[in-house]
Amino acid sequence: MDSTPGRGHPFPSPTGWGYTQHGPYSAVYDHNQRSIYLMTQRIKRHPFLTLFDGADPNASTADRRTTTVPTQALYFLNDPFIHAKSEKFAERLAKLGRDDVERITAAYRLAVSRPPTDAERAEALDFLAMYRSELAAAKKGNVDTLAFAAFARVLFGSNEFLTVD
Amino acid sequence: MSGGVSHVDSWDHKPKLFADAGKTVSVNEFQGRKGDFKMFAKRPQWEFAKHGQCGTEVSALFPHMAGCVDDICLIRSMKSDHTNHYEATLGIHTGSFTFARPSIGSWVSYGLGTENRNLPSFVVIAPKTPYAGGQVWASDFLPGAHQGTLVLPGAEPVANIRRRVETSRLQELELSAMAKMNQRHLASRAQDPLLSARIKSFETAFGMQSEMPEVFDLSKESDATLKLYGLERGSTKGFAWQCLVARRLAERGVRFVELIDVGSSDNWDAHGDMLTHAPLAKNVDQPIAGLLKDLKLRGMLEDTLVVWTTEFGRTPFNAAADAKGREHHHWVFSSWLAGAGVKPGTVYGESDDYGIDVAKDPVHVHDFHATILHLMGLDHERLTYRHTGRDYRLTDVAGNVVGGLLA
Repeated sequence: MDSTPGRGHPFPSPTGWGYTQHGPYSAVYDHNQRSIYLMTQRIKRHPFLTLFDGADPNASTADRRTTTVPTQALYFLNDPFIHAKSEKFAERLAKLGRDDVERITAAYRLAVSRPPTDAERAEALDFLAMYRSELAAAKKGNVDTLAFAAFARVLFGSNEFLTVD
Repeated sequence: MSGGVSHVDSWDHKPKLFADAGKTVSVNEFQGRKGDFKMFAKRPQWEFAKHGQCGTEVSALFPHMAGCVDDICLIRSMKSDHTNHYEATLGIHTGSFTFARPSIGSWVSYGLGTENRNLPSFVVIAPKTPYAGGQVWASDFLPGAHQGTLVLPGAEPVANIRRRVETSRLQELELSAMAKMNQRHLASRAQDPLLSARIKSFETAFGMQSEMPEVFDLSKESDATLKLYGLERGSTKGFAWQCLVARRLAERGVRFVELIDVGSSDNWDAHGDMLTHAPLAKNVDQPIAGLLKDLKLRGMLEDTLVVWTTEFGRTPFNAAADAKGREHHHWVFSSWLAGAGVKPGTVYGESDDYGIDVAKDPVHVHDFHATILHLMGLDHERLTYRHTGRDYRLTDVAGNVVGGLLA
């Protein structure tokens, strides 16, 4: 995430505006800053916020309802953003640990703020081994990063990561 | 149908409008402005003829749908509250002509629940963005599970439905590792239905990845079926593809499917020339007739409701005697229902001699909604959701079930 304050959105120049109800203004300006800096467009809700029960920006919403739907799970499985972030996370783990065990510990500490139990460490090692051999069978390169990226997705999709106790 | 389909050129035969074309007509409002306006009656572009056993008159604009009148309950007395596209489109979808509210599809999903957990309960197939944008299929204050899932013709009809990792086995490894982690997490906590629901949602998502593409795989449809819809094999173009996919979704238990033919431009908004209705009609006419016939053949029409509507009609008159187009007209327009307990082969309501206002049995958008919910087994006055301190309904504080439409 970029922690700097938000700047202006790249709105088109007013001299070129010709928006009508037949051809309305429509844009999503994605960035890596805090979501408070996202542009809110009334007639088109932000796709990510829509998926995760973002409030209707037209109304005052005191109590936001949450839902759990498979399209959210699909996001964790297949969205390019999740895949890009999990690969970045894998690259970061590579620098934090010298071997798989150190990297698994670092991953647990970063994602869920605790070290893995012995059973979890053993399961993670098994997972990485199976994932690497499956990747090799599929003739994929960059096996280490991809296997740790997959491990990152497992952590990011878990209830422990996503819910507050 | 986006933009406002002309009732007097399609479903509502007005012989007097043919006879008196060019004569002046007085109206006290024109395109949202009050006043005394002298207008010129404009001759309909297409001739009408009686069709079917019931003899309902339909114009040559919709020759295929005209062949289905014996299965249709035509309403010639629809009324809306607004003369502008945005408000009227929002109104026909949500019952609210001002602020966004939950879409009718979301209300039906909320009322009926889902029949197939591998598919969303409300699907919208819209190649272009309509007036009022995604608000027309949004769940607004209803839980997000009831929002319309937008489907676009093409390679990935639903967002993130395609597996991104190389093989199914890789994904299974990820899911199984996640399931182990989640089970352990769940076991160490008090029963929390939300945690179990999230675990379940990943299993469902895995199923959706195979079931959704199967819905859009039309390769097993017979030549006869494709011909019924007028769809070329392999094509994902046009309303024919939308209609056939709609039948496949309905077959698989999707509760509410909305098809939007065109977006907020290049649509039925024929201000300039009524002839622009012709290619739009060609895009939808045979596919809709095909859908009705196909549903009937499969015995699905008995419990599937088909609704045909637009946001408003078009003026039977115009400001100039030689005007080629028609303007927006919400005082009266035509819609129809078919299947699922509506009276087939009937016409309900009447407009006046020129098709300017309702003459008999008005059906306001709220009444239309109340009747649709009734046909779905839902009482529009009891299907409520508490939001910002009060109970909300699709019909807000209005609407009556129109008994005359029911079989």
